[in-house]
Amino acid sequence: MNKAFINILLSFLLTLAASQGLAQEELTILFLGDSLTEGYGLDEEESFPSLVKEMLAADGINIRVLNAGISGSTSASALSRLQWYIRSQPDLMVLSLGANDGLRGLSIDEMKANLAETIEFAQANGVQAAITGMMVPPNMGPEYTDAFARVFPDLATEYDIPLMPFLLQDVAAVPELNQADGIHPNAEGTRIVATNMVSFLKTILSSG
Amino acid sequence: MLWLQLALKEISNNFKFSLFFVLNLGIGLIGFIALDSFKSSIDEHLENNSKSILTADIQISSRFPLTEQEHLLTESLLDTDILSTSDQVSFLSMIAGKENSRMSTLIGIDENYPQYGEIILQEAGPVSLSDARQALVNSETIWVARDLMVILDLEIGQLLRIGNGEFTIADVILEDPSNTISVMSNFPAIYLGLEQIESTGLIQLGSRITYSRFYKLPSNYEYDYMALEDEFRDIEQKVYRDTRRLSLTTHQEESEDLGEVLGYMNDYLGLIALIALFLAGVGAAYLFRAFFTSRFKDMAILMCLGGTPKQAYQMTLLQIVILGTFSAVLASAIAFLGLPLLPLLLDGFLPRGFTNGMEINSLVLAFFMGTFGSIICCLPILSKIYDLNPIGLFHENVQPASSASHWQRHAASYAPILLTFWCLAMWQASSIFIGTLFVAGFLAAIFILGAVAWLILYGCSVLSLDNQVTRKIALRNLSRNRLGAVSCFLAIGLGALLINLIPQIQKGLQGYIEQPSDYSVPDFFMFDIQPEQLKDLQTVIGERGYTLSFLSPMIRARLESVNSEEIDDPDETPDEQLMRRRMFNLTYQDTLKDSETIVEGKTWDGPWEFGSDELPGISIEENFAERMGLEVGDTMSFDVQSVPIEGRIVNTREVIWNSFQPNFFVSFQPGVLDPAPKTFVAAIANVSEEDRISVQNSIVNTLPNISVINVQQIVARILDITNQISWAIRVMAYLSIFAGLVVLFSIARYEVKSRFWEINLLKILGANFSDVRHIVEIEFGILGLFAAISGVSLSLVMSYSISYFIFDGLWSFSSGITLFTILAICGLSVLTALIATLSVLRQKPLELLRTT
Repeated sequence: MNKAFINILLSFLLTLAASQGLAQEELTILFLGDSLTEGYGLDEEESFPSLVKEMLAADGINIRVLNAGISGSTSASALSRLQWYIRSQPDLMVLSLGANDGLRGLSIDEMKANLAETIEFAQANGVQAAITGMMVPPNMGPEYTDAFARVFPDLATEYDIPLMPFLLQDVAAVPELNQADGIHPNAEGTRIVATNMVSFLKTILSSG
Repeated sequence: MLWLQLALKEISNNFKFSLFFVLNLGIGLIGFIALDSFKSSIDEHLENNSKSILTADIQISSRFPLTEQEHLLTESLLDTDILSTSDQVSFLSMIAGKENSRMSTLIGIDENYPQYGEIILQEAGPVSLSDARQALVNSETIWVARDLMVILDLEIGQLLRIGNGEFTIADVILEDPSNTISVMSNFPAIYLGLEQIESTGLIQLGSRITYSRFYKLPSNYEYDYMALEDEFRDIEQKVYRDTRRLSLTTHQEESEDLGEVLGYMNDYLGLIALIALFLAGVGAAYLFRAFFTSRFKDMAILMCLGGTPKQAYQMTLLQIVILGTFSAVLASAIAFLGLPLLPLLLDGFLPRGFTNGMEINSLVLAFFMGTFGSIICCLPILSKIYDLNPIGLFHENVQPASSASHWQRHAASYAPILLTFWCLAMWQASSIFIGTLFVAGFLAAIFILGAVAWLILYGCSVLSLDNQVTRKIALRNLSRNRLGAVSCFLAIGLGALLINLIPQIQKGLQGYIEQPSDYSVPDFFMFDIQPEQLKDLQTVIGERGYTLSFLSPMIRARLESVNSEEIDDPDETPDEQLMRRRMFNLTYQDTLKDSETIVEGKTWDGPWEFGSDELPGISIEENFAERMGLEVGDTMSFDVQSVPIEGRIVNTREVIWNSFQPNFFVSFQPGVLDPAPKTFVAAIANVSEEDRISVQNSIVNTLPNISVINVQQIVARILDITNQISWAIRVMAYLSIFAGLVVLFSIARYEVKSRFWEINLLKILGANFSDVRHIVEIEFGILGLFAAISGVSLSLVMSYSISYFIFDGLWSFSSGITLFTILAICGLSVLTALIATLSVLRQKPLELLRTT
């Protein structure tokens, strides 16, 4: 499928979306996440939601981005934050929370329940939900690491929502693509995250 | 040799006087050695304390295994002998117990850990030198923190699974030196051997591991840790083109919360050392000069007999050097025997592990004062010898004639004293700035005191027209012997200045360092509390009889602009950029917390009203405002989770550092941020020992996302160190008062001794004891009182200036100490003079005539 064809397809979809009253003129995407979404240690324009907007714009797709990333936030805050942003009438919510739950060793069941009620709230309010997979470093122990990673595909299946298998695909554990702390992507790493996210979004949009 | 024999003979001929001189100077030097040694002991004690927190002098760590090249780099940077090194690997991991699991810090250690401080185990006790450590690093055993043992319901001897490995719990950690405030250390620790940590299988691609090497350096190795850090970054930049691969931590940084306090303490101790030096200097200079002056008659005789002024000077100087050396030996011997006994005498008052020994530096300085000091202190008199005329022998007081042409030479003779004390001051204070500031202040004080003395003595000559005989004689004595009286006034005045200087600074410092008694110190900090969880949280802890304290909302925002200008400065360093672009945690509050005080501006009245023409108020922490170049009246715009919010800075506030309360750089007026998504931070205070684990568990079980950090141990450790610092500051202030009074005592005694002839004359002329006593009382009362008042007044000005320049203006007037110093000095002068007079009056006039 060539690029021009995708553009035509997306334009068609967006027009369709507008006519259905899902968005105004442009699609509003809410990125609900943590420091990875916020762009910790980077300028605002270097965060992946800003890059996604820029990359899609280069492809002729204009979107409005709501960067709802808060460093250190856990899944527990997801619902109340979504309730704040729902006033901005987002069309799509990309849920990228859970990494801090994992790094702090919080209960996996609790995290899953928090994410589930957030997805339910979004769907109940006419916001399409998507979720990105997260992983915790192997030093956390095999049982915890496995159980943690399973939460995201399980939720995607349960609520029938699109899943980006791993937010930090090709970036995690690559020293050159991360900041000194080893977990936050640097500008170059964030660009890769944004590129992957753009592909993911295009898939969502193309699937209608 | 002949000169030496002659000098010794002269000393033995005047044995009583020589003994008196040696004892007086000795007392002054003992005061100096004691003060200086005690200062060094405290300095060392505090430094060891801070080293025991890091467990080393320096730590190098990285997210990657440290390479041989990196070790060589560090060693070349340190450029000293490395006494020992200790390697460590640490990471977080989930550890499962019988029913639940908990995040823990796994720490792999080698046999050299810890290089300072000690781990205290339940069974093996302190393991700084124990076999337990050897057993740990060589077997599949672990030590587990007490909290984790309780939470996971573990027992000693039980097997615990960590990753792919199984380890036997050999002991329980009761106290851990590395338990400081950092995320890692807030999770309970499990120690295991460095070799064994590999077998957990948890170190693999993507694992977040910290690799560290700890260095123990020679105790006399001194470095500026800020400069070391810069040098380290430069080298790192050259090798990796990046400054983030390695991290260097010095023990000073590790106790970062104490950094400012330790810095103050260091400057304060430097100041104490200076005071000690100057006190000894004032005492020694006074005695040397007095001794020399009393020898003018002998010198005139020597010159009459054909000696040159140079020979006369050599002869007297040699005597002084010999006596000075004797005094230094005597003072060192007494200090050597006495100082180690001090901790025994002060048992119970001294901090744990405090040892007091004699410092070689102090001894060297004492000898320097006793010998070389005598030479330079007498140089101004040496210049006068050339003006000494044997005709003076027929005068009551032999004094060199002064002529205008000799003033230049005389003034120049003070230069070596000034230069020597200036150099010594910089050395003692370990700072060019403090040393210079102190010497400049001291010089100014000498001029002012000299002027005041002349004025007072002039006043005495006017008042001596009085008809009352004793008063008349006393006032005449003072005005007639003006040079002697001025030097005595100067010595007492400077002594008073030095004595009162430290207590004045001490009060301000202590007020800053000490924990206010009405503060409740938190035991637990909690964060990530969701608004809807507040009620449940209050119920959970309320059931156990506790309440939430210091509850503060926390809202994440990005700073967009200041005064409507975007923040983008091309000259900013990367650190400044990071600081500016970083997201802020904002809060809002109705009133100030009890740990906050407004420095500039005013607080707000009630919440901001929606739609108001005025911008909402912002309160900024003062250091943050300084760093960001912000002032009251500036506007700040934030992006609060996609909503732009602008406010105006209405005040800057100071936060008491050791309040241990949640503090925010930026605080908004209520009514603006209230609806924004937020979390809360809070604390629980005064939790009893037996409730600690159950309170923590009940929160974690009911509201698992809330992070509960037990800060009791950390807070206790910081408070312990600050209490020790506070104690040291107080003790050093008292010691400096005591040492100062000892020096003044020796000055007053000597001053009376030099009046023997006059007193004797009065006695021969028929004055009774009460007359003589009255005269001495008036003379020394006037000298003591006015010198003390002038010295103390100057000390207030000088202490305020020192506080302004060195201690960030931490100064408060201590009226009690001021009054005490004046009364003590005045009383001491009079009392010492009276006791000395009494001994003169007891002797037969003929005997006195012989000794005079």
